[in-house]
Amino acid sequence: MSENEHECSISDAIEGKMIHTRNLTKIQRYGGIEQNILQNVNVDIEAGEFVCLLGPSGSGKSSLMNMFGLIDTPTSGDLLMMGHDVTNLKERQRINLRRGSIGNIFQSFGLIEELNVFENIELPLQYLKYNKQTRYSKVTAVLDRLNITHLKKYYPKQLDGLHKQLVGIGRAIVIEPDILLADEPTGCLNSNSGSKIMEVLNSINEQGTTIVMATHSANDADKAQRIVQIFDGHIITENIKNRL
Amino acid sequence: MMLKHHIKVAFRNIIKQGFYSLLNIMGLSVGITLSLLVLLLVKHELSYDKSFNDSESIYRWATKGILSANFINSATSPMPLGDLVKKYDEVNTVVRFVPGANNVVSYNDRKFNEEYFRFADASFFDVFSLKMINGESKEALLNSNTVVLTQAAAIKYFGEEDPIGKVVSRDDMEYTVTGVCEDMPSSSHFKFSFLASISTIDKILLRRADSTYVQNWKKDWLYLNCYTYVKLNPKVNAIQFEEIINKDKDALLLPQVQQTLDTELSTDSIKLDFYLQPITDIHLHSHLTAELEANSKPVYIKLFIFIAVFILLTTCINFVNLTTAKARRRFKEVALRQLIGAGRRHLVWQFLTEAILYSLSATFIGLVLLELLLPLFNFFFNLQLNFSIFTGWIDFFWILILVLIVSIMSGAFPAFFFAGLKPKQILQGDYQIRNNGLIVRGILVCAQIGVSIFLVIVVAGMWWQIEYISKKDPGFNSENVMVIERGSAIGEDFKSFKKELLDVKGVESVSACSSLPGDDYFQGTFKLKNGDNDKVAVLPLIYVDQDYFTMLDLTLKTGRFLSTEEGDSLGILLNNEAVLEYDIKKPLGHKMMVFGKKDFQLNVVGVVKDFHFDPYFESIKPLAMILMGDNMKFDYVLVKLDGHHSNETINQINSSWNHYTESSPFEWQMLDNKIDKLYDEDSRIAKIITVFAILSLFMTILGIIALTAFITEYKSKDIGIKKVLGVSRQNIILQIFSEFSLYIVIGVVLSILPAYIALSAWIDGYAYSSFVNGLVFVAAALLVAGLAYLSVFYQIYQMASESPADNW
Repeated sequence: MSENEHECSISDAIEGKMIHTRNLTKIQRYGGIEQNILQNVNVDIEAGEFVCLLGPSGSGKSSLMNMFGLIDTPTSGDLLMMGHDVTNLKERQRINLRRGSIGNIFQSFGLIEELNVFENIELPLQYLKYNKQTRYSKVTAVLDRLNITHLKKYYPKQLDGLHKQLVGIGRAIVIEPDILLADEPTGCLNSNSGSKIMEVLNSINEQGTTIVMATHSANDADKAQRIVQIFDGHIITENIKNRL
Repeated sequence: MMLKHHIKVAFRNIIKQGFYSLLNIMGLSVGITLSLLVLLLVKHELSYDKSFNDSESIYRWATKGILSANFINSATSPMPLGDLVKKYDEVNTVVRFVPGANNVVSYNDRKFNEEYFRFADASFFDVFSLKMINGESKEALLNSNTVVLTQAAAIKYFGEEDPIGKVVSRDDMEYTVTGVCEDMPSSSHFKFSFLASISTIDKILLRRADSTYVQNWKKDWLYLNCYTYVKLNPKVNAIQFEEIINKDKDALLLPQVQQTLDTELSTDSIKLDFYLQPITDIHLHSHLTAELEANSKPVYIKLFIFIAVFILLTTCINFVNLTTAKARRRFKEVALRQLIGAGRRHLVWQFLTEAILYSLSATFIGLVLLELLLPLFNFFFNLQLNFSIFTGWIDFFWILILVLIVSIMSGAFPAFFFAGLKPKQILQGDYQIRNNGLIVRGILVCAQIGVSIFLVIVVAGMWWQIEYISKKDPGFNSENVMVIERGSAIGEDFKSFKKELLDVKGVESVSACSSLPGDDYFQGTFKLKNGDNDKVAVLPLIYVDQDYFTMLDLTLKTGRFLSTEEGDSLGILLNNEAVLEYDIKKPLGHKMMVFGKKDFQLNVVGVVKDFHFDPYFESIKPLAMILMGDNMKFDYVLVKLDGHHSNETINQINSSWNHYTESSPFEWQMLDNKIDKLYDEDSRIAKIITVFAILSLFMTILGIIALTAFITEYKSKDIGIKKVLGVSRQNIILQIFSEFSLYIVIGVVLSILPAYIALSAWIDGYAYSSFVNGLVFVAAALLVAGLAYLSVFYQIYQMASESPADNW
């Protein structure tokens, strides 16, 4: 994505919604049997929000996250991301939109084991064709911000869960994304580490980054500004405590 | 393109995968080394006689037709042919040459037997563009008693000295060195170390025969005594020119034929035609009588190309299988990269870079291996291949092409395979390697197994045949028979030399002969009077000393062996085949007239049981044996040693030899070894194929390991569930074994028929053969299958022993 387009999408998002869905439906076919994964999902997420999708396993939150992450497409309904209608985009267009605009944080950290901490964080910048000098300064800034500069030469297998996830977060934010998608970011961590990660996410959100987090932990969900509860593919409640 | 990043990741991956990377690189480097070796071999075989300028315009005249009721198809031609063709505008240059006998050449105290002493027209260097290192090629062979040496011969005789103007002697004839030329390329269908002017032959003949004979030998159209080469002008059609020559030669040839028929009172037909052979075809396609060197066959080239392609394909298949087998870990990486922003192009480049890196490191190891193995390969297989990456940029260019092909072939599949994955499936954990992936891999491994079993069977069959001929009773006993080469050096003193040798301790008997089993022999045309039916036949003829028969334990069928005491100087001994050829019931006492000499008749005194005086490639032919006269020169002295002779015996024989021959080179070998050499070419090919069979087995096993890795990966979830359900380890092992047993069985079935056909075709070259026992087919299949099971047992055992939690 060129810098112009990037700026343009940000301004669209500020004017409009960061994420906007209407009657979003996902139907999965298993042989002859159809199953509704998501039914008539209507969600609006504004720029700068920290929204949590809360629900048990199989509720459909990961499917919704996959659509927000432009990995999956809805069966019907509308999905607008950063002002773009992404419902019927081609694969190449989805990659272009994803690259540089969406940061992903995974439950199992998703680090590449052959790369050290610095290189893991640097990787998305390489795909965005930043020059070496810019990459260096951006990665150094992120390492510094997350207080993991001393780990930059370490390989993932030398790190504990908390630090792995910090690197995962670092890699997601280094591109300064419009949206940060975090799928069960504390799922593989103990409660202490989990709290620490939630603090970091909060501080990122404070800097203005929109965050959508999926979790089944009501505790973690509490740290978000808004909770969207999902059950069997339906949105059942919207808690808007922080808006009030 | 993020090249640096891709290289870094590829390196770390190679190191991380440890054992699999090592297997992968080993497989690739062995594959590349072998393909390069085979390609060098093929290149060498295809390059025969192509190094000469205008080689495509150079032809050899060969002769075919009927002479004295014998079919002739010979590489030689008569001398006057060269004189005739010289007159035509189509011809640029003609050269004839005559090979000299193996004789001693000496310069001062340096004496060596020279097998490759040839006599040639002065135009030799106009046809065969060899560089003159010293002297002028145009003038070098104009006068008689002049000689040109190859560089190797010049160093052997003269060392640092300048050979030009020096005189060497051979058979009491002196030759002045007028030139030194570069050595003949090893890929030539003939060799020489000395090239003397053809006019010298007149002088040699003059010493032995009358001047009429000297005049006649050059004009005789029925005497195939030389090799004639011609360089045609550009755009001349060789076939049309052949027709012209065959038409025009009749005017010269037919009067001589008529004259011969009149003299011999014969009604036989004599018909000779000449045809042109492109010299670049001779090495692979010409198998005439009197070839200058043993030529090869195109089937070997095809076989080698097949092997090279097979090795390369196997290498690539194994690479693909090993790379994609442990795919689960890579799946996750691919999905992550896609989510972080990697496009399809990035991923394709990443995996291609990895493949190229593998290929480059394997090529480097392969080239080192090649450098180390080439001398061994040359020595072991008696070849003269050379390979130089620095001087031969063309070789280097081809290697780069090879690396690129290997990389692209082996890298493209994993690259597109991984790049085509959808991150959603991987993240949701419902990625499944499709069943058809397994089937395709299975078929590829199945082909490898098939080819390995094919090669093992062919190799076993070849050694079976080689063993068979080494064990087969040839009809004579060659044990402990020592052959002294160039026996003619003894001159007329054979009787006393023989007497002296018989006194040496360890010597049982001494004899001599004009040719040994497997050698070329004289041919005699004999007319046998049988009632009203005279029958003429050309018989191979051996001149022997009377002790020859007992020394070689020949079996008498009827009559007696030839003996001087019985006054058999006009006696003749036939073999059984000869008796059948003449169709005579009671051969003893029959008179055989020597064709062309009406008054010279020989008396049949005995018949010996057939023995193999030709190699086993040919069926036993009729044979005649005649006692050699006192003044006759013979080629070999035979000494039968007792089983307990020592070096002292050999030394004493040597000193007697020196005494009688004025220190001619004493070159000897055991008859057993000499006969074994007849089968050297086949043993050599069998050795080469054995090596390839072993290496192909290695590659196949690598392939099977890769397939097993893939199957265990593919089945890991199933197996995990079975373990949870309490299925025993043995059952799981059995299940995986049976998964790939199917491919082994198909491989076995597919290989048997082609192996049978290939082996039959090879064995057809022998007149006497033994087809490999059917059990060998079973044994080869069991061997390959056994090795396959053995090599993957650990892998499968480990998999079956893992905790079920590891399978998720």
